[in-house]
Amino acid sequence: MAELGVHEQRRYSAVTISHPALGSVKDLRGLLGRRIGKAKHLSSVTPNWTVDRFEFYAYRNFYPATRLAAAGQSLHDRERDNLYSHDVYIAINGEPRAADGHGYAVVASPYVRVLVDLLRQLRDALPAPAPQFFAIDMEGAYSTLASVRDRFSATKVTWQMLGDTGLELVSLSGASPLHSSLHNALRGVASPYSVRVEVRVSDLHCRVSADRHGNLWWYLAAEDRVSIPLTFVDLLNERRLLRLGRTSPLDRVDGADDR
Amino acid sequence: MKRYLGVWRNEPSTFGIGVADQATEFLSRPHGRTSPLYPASATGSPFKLPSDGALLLLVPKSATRLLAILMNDLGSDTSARVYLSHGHAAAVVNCSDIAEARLCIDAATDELAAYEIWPHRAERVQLTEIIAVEPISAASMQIPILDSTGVGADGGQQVSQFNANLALLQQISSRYAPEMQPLVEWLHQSVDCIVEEMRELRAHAPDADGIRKAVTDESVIVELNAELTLLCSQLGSGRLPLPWHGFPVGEYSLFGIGSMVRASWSIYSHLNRTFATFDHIGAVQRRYRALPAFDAFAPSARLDYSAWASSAIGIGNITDGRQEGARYHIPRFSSRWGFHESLHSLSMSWQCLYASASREWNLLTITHEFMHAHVRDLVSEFIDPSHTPPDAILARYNIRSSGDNALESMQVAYVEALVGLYGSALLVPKAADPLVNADRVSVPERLDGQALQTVVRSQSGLFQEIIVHVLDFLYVYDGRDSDYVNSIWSSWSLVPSVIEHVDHYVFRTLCALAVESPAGTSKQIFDDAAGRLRTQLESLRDRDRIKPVIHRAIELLTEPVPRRQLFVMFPAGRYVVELARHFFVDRSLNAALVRDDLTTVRNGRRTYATDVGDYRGETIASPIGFLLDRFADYEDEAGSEEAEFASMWQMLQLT
Repeated sequence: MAELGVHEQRRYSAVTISHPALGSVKDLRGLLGRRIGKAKHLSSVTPNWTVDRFEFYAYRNFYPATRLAAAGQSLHDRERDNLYSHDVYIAINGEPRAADGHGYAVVASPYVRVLVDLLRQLRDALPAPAPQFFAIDMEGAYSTLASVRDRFSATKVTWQMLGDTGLELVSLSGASPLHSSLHNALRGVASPYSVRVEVRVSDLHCRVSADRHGNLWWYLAAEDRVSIPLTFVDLLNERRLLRLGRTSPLDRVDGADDR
Repeated sequence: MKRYLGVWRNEPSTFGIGVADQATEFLSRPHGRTSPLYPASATGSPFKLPSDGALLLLVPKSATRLLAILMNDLGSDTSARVYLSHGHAAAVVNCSDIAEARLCIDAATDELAAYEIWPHRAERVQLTEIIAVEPISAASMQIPILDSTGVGADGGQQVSQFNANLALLQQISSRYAPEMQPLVEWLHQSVDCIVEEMRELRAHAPDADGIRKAVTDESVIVELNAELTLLCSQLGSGRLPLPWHGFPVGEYSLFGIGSMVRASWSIYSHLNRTFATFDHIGAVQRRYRALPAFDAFAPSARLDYSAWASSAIGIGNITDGRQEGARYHIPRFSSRWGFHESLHSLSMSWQCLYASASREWNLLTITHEFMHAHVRDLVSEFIDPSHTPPDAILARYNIRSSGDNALESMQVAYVEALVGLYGSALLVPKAADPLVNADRVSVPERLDGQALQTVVRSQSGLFQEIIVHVLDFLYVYDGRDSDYVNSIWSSWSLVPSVIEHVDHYVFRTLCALAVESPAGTSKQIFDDAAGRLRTQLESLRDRDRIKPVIHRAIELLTEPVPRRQLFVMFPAGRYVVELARHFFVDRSLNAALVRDDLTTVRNGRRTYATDVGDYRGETIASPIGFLLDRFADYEDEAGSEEAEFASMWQMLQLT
């Protein structure tokens, strides 16, 4: 059968999820049954992550017709029993965190509603305890990125203004906004909210954004770059900037225009 | 949704247990006690007692974290049997047997301070079968007893009582509310200082002033004792072993209201800690004498405040990072006092226990009371007669001198503000006369001591009220008209005496809103603020309970004569607003008050994006920010079960 992958050159949203029963795509299939279709293992730039693309069946199709056509497919190719498959990526970290012994996975999709549906299905299917998610200590991330220059450079920081009537989010972007005087001036009256980071691995690069709730997003130009954002997650983990909690990051996506 | 769990003593070794729709069902029985229980899930079923089982009563270290475990980690069958109470045993699980109770305990062990298991059969509990683990004291030290000698018989009695009350509070808080330990320590230190002063005064044959001082000191301890007994009663209600540590309030007599007191402390202590960190009072005390003077008289005509805009002594610019330590209030609920602040206590309406998720009884009103304490302390730094005699201030005022430093400038600015308010108040009855020019204010050339006393007595309250309102509007309500007006007018309109003085309340609200009006003349600012206030009041006009007050307020803004009367006062009020804006508002403090990494931005507003009935186990860093976020979803009035549940839920998120 022809390869059914529909990788899209567009923005992907992701969250990091942790649960003892979620260790592989096989576990996923065991939990979600017919909602999971074909899976394909992909190579990863980081050895500690296992990356797969799999089909997740949702109750409606989110792919634009032009996208399917460009992949040489039709809606019929993606449909089964009134469910429509979408390509979702899952990266599973094989090394439990030193901080708490938890394993974790990053799940990414170009369609936030697909991700929401997938997480809802998982929550219902996973045995107790409920899955947890990683939020990010963004103040710590700013400090780290201000001192780490080789593979990671922050090119945009967004602050949440506090107590300023009519002003909520302020972004600074450029070669090094973390070193600007305006960045320092905002500290007393604002709270770190999100960051955009240029991540370089060999001659591949990717621009990854993350907010403090744990939402990750990036533009995926080619499938071979899908694991690059994982190196940023590794950095956050090494610096103990990931915090486990029960709130899905998708519950706190902000309403800013560029989202 | 709500049902009452009741117990009563029927035989020496057993007690009866039952469930009813009304609290009174159990209170007529011997040693009858009862408290309401709510299903933890917003869609859960009302509490029912099976024919046999094991009732698990859980006392959390943190209710929000415990509930997150119970509602997320044990499966839906268990979470459907979790119920909420107002007491220290905030979570009650209807277990099928002791083994199931033990599974819940094991899962939640890190978040438990204590628990009891009541195995029951046929509506009976054998006392000997109750399994109880009481909380361990978190106190690291014993609070020393204060020496009650050398302060007279009455004083000695009060000190003895204080020692006993504080020891009881220490016993309760160290086990059930360790976060209140700073209050215990502060009370001890404060009364220690007072007792020392009393002893000094008695030791040196005091004169009339000395006697007055000693009596005042003793009355402070009397008041503290009164407040402490209330706090001990409320915080100590529902301690283990239940059910015999009853609370003498019928509807909460079984489990008490301990968790609600903890939640109120969470809100208060966040406010108190933030203000203590910035220590504006201390900064004024330490630095004002050494800071340059500002021109208190440049805006005397109430036209041009630009001289103040360039002043570098705004409170945000003079804080020096030092903290002299917080002083505390004793927080407690009261149906008699409602929301009220005194030197030593902060009272919240009793209705908040079941209606804090309604606009009428919302807990943001605490901030207004807190601001009164802050502003009172601030003003006392300017006008403490032991530091600067009134004659010295008067002499500078009468020659229009702003003095040599910021303290002297603020003192004359204070007098200038009061004189303006007083003079305008005299004009109000004549406001209908078209010859009265309300755009400019003229103040008398010279004051004498008697006149100064008059203006201070009659206008210092209004001066402080305006500053309180400005700070409350900016710091707590983010300068948002709708939340601010809705909150304070929903709350005020229930107070019977407000209808007699609606004009006062309209005026204060206008002053607060004016701080966010575009720059302009007093007339322009007045018209802007009045228009905005009217818009917000119009949205409240159909609410039955507050109709009379709201309708009257709208009349005052729209009928020509009352509107003009308000405008006659306005330039004088604006002077105080500008004083607050330029010298008493600190944007960094504002930011610290609402800072919380849990918030996101939706529809241009900061929000926690949390729904009633969510149990995420998150520690809310800004209780004030959380309550403000909740405000938009509140019901207007108390009374619905949904509002009761939401009230319970939000309070438990804060502990």
